[in-house]
Amino acid sequence: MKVPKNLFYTKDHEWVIIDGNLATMGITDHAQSQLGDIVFVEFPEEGTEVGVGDSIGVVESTKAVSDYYSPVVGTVKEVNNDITDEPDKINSDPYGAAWLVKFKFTEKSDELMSPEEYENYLKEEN
Amino acid sequence: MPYTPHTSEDIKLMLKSIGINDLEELFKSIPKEFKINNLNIASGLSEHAASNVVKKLSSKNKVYDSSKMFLGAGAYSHYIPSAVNHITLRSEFYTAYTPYQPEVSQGTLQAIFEFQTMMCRLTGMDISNASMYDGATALAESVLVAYKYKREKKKKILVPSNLHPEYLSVMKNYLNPFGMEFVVFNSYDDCNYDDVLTIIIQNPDFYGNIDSKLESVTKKARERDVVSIYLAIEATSLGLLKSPGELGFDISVLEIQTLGNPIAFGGPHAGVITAKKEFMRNLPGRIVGETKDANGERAFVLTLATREQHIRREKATSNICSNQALVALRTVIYLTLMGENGLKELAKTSYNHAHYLKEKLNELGLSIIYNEDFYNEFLVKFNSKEKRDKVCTKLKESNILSGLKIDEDKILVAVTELNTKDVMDKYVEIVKGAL
Repeated sequence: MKVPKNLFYTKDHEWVIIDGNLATMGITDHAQSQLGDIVFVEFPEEGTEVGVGDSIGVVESTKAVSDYYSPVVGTVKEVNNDITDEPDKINSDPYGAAWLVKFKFTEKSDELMSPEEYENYLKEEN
Repeated sequence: MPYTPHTSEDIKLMLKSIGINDLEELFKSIPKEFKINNLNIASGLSEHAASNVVKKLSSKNKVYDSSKMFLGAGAYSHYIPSAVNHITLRSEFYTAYTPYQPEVSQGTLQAIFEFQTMMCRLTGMDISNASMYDGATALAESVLVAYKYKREKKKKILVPSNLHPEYLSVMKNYLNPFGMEFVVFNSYDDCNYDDVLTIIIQNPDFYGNIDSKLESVTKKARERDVVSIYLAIEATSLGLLKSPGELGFDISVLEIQTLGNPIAFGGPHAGVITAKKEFMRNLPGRIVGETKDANGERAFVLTLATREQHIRREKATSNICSNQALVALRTVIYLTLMGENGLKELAKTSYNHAHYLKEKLNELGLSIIYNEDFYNEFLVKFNSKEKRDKVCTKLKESNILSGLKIDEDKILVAVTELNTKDVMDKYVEIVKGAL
């Protein structure tokens, strides 16, 4: 399971990268492998104001639906419409082409984990 | 799936295995005052005796010959080919319960798939569900489709004053907990589209009116980001009228009783929602899809199940987890027997019969109320309540069911292909005598 070193992680298996007051999120390699073949992704509307832990969209595989949650307080700046027609990119490139949402944020979740912490978290979960 | 009641041995065994002696002990947590000891119920009747009781009760019904029924208002009598009953009553269809497992239910699943295909073709839409409880609840669910599609932001619903009143009542019941606001309009010019979620149109309307301005309504709705919903309660009208898809509607709701299902005391009815593809993931209820089995053969399965409660829990599109399989099946068989041309002919005949009766009543000097044109139902206005009631009574004496009394002085008269010319002439003659 890939856990890149340059990202933060959440307990709901999302990754976050912070750049100034901008944050980008997606779901982790572990999350995509648990879900299986992803067939649909739903995004929040651009401009939506969000808080930490708000359910902002869903990722749907052939067997399950999973919500994903905002890791920040802020507004939705951009969503990855490029993967609407190719949601399986979440399976093949969860940390790259298949980012989900970009935010302009004022505050981030205080529960974000480092890559090492996330790796331990995965071990504990198993 | 057999229905197996517990024998007294079964009950004893179960009690023993949980370590208690009798049923009394099992229910001892229920306070005494809530227990009923002696119900005043007779000891029971033999099958023969029970059948006599029911026969006696049913003889109190006033049964009208279908050619002599002119009551519609949401339930319509059409000829049902006898093959519909013969095929429906096959035990594989008739006694199966929730037959959705693809391993054992290919026949039922295919029938539902064909049903969806027919509903899409009939309404000019991309996707259909497998049917729902009835037209009114399907209409309420269709508003929720729009609500979810628009991300639960807007709650105002434009409803025409000529919508079936019972449908409005069911919708209010269903949707008030969501905080929906109903705005009733008389004419399209009155409509304020600000913050409106959806506009509902019933065509033909409750009084049988056919609306020819619907393309401009859907165009306006689209411009104002309002979801347009088409409702047809008399679904045979689609044999004659432009489909809701062609008219530019987003969602279409049909009541399918009229397509091969008898009118009886309270049912059975069924509703169905069809829609443009973009509403797919917000549709409620079951959907059957086509796929390939392990051998690469064409096969049918429930699809898009991730909308449903067993996967999506409280975020499911609806709490509907089943369909009206048998009513939908009758509809498939009926439409297969009728064919496209058969349905067109049926609609034309109903239309022509209705217009014949309207002309004849008009010749008696009665005013017939409608807007531009009507399908198979129209309002007749009498000079007074007395006149109206006298006409209804006289018709009843000749075993003719006149229609639905509306206001003080009107009746809503429904005519289908089953109301033959001789019966209509008799109707007119009796009305003439009573005026």
